[in-house]
This record gives sequence, C-alpha cells and structure tokens, in this order.
Amino acid sequence: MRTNQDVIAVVTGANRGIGLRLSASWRTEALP
Amino acid sequence: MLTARKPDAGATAAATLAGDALRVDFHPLSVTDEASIRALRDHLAAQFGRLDVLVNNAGILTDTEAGGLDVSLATVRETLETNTLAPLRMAQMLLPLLKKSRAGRIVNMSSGMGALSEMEGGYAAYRISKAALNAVTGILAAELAAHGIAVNAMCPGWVKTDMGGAHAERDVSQGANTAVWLALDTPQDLTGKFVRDRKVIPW
Repeated sequence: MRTNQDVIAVVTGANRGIGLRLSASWRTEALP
Repeated sequence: MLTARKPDAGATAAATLAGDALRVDFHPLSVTDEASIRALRDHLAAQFGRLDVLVNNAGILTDTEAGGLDVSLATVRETLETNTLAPLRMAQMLLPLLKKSRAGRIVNMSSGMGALSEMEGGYAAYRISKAALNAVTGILAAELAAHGIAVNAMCPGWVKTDMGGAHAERDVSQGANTAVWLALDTPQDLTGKFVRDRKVIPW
C-alpha cells in the first residue's frame, strides 16, 4: 500500500483556512 | 507541496505542519501569475518528475454582498482571475506532470454558491466565478478521462475561515474533509462530479 508520503500534491492557498487544514490532514488519511 | 502567495505566511504554515510523518515543502505561488506557475512547474519537474494531486484551493471573495444589479465588472473580472482562470491555467500548465502520475487528480475548491441548481441573488462575482469553475471542472474531466486523470469540484460548506467568518456553521476540519477524500481516497473513476460531504450533489 502506498503511504501518503508517496503522493506528490500541490495545494494552493495553503497558508490558512481550509488549505492549511487539508494539508495537515494529509498525515492521517490512509490511501486505498 | 504547500503553496501560498505570501512567502512568510507560507513558510510559517509549512514549518507548522512539518512533522515526523509528513514532508511539507513550501513554494511561493501567485496563481494569477503565469511566470509564478511556470516556476512551480519547473521546480516540481526537477524535484519529483511528476504530480499526483492538484488541489486548486486558493480563492477570493471581495465586495462580498454585491448582487448582479450592482456588482462592478472590475470585481467580477478580479474574482474570475483568481477563482476560475487560475485553476484552469494551473491545470493546463501542470498537466504534463499529472500525466506522469499513475492516478492523477485535480480537486477544485468550489462552492454551492456556484451551483446553478440552487442559484440565488447576491454575492454575484463569487457565484459567477464558482459556477464557471464548475464548468471548468466538467470540461477538464471530460478531456482528461482518456488519461485517467480524475477532476472533481467540491463544496466545503460554510466554514469558519477568514472568508467564511466567525459565524460560519462548520470548522475548517469539516471543510477540508471532502477535499482530502477526493484527493486520496475516492475511486479513480469518480470524475466530473460536484461533491459535498462526500456525496455527489447537483451542479
């Protein structure tokens, strides 16, 4: 199974609000 | 890769997130600046050689409540630049890298305020920009299906952010939940959809 660290993702507007929160969520979400 | 227009704010956010289980790189990006997007693309190409997920989250809401009868066209144009044309240009310019992913995805942060099926008055510039972003989503989904790249739009709901204000119904974790789900967990063949709370909703 891949880990989240294997996913290369770009999030725009990520310094605050939803962008920041979803970036923080990356570490706890599992990949299928 | 965490991007933001303001280098100081972006670097601070990346430092906050950087931990044992997550690698967070910050790269400055002004989504309305073609040269800035090109610099990001070149950096990604050199550093990783591919891109798996693009989350077009950056957006603006200015002149907040002006309706269709009184909003200035300057406000509409400015809002379209950031909320609609920037996500389109990001997708265009990063497409060569997304094609190198085995499961490329684009998530566009839209809003129910852009849904034609529940259109109301007020907030005209924002509504127009998000309705057009939904169109961009559908067009890209159709054109990228052959490449196996999933493209979806989502509504986070009314979230307590600088944009949503303190009286909003939801906290940011609820707003981010569906975005992460679309970015990482959904079947690759879920594409061309408008999603809220992990459920497909009408455009």
